Amino acid sequence: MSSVARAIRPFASRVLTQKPLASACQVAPAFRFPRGTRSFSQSPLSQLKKYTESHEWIELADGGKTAKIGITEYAAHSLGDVVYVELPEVDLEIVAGEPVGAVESVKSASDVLSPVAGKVIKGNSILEDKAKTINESPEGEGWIAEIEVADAAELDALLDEAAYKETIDA
Amino acid sequence: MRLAHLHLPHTTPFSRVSHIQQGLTTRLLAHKKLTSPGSISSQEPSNPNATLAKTPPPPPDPTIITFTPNPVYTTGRRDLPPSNTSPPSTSNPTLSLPPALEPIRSIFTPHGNQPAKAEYHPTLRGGQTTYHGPGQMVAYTILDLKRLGLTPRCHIRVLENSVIDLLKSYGVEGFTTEDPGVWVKPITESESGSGSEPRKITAVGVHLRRNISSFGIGLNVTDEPMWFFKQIVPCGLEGKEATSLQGVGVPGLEVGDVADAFVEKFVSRVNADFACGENAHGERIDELVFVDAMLG
Repeated sequence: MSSVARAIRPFASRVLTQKPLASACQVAPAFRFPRGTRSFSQSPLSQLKKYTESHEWIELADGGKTAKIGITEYAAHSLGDVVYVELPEVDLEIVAGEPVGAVESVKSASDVLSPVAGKVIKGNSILEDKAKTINESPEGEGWIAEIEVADAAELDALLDEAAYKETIDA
Repeated sequence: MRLAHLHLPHTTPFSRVSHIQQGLTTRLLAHKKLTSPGSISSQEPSNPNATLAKTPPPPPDPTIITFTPNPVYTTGRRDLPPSNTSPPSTSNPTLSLPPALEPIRSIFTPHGNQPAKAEYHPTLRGGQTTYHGPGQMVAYTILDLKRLGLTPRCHIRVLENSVIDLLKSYGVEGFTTEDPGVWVKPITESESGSGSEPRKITAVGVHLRRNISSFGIGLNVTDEPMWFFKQIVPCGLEGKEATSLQGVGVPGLEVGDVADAFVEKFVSRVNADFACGENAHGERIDELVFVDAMLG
């Protein structure tokens, strides 16, 4: 099992990092893989998670039409205990770089900016009752909004994990 | 780096401070957009190194505004309708009040020839309802926290510790509790009430966008704000009382002097605490400039 996965991963990442494919095509390779073979679809999808220097993450869902948005581990840690999360309203049209919600820790309310343009499908209602989920799992269960992405190619201009890490350490 | 201290003398309409703050925040945000690698609205998509190689314009100075507004109740983010992620409109906000202020609607209503006792301004800061007005020194810090090497949590701690240092210079012991803000023990011969329960002398509330901070603290200097605090449950803290420097035995202070002293303590704290021990490195504040209030 693991040896198969190991063999596949370099291939998948090679496909995705090929420069000529970059911009508009980056999303496409993922969907050429045969459906149902998990080891194939997971690795490319992990490439579709991007970051902003204002500490948001966005992850495209299978199909590339929708995405979840949240704040990064780093942001959740530096904010401290989250006491309140402001969720966006369903159907709200959002512009890249404009607020899609806010996260409030003790006395500090921080805007959450949408990395790309789109339309809100839903906010994560878990956060209404359990704002602390953001601290426990900021890049998992603690996602803030699910949006319909206007143009998946917009993700290309965002930071990948390595570039994001660099902005933190800078 | 240079820190600008803008002190607005006398009492100021809150909307004026709000306007100045907005201008300073926008300036810092615009600069950040210009210089951030991979920033969302950057026109050059893929090559952060090229952007970095160019000499970036110098960042605008961080600013502290200190002022005393006309009587005003401000609400925080949690008191707004959940969908409201943009700044409130400028249309008469007293018409629709958040639940926390509904019981005191008459305070916002003119009676005959008497003007309204206070204004109401919704804001996007953290924290809940509070009051600002004469007898109070309000300090708003408009900073790029990243440049100063402060995390959001650390920024709040620096604000609180600066107040505690300031109180100490007046011989008053301030402390933090599990509730936010800065608290003091009441002096024994105080008016009847909740005995020796700590009383709140300073409220804290901050807004952040891209690590640019706005809003800050409100420190009670005299007892003048007390009547206004008694009308509400400040910051959602039931059964807690407010007090002032005058209330704990330090009368006769000028708000302007308190403001200068606060800024001095703030600068020392930023330079000394340096990211509160967390692993970040920021610039020191090595110069303080006083800005003319006419700028706004």
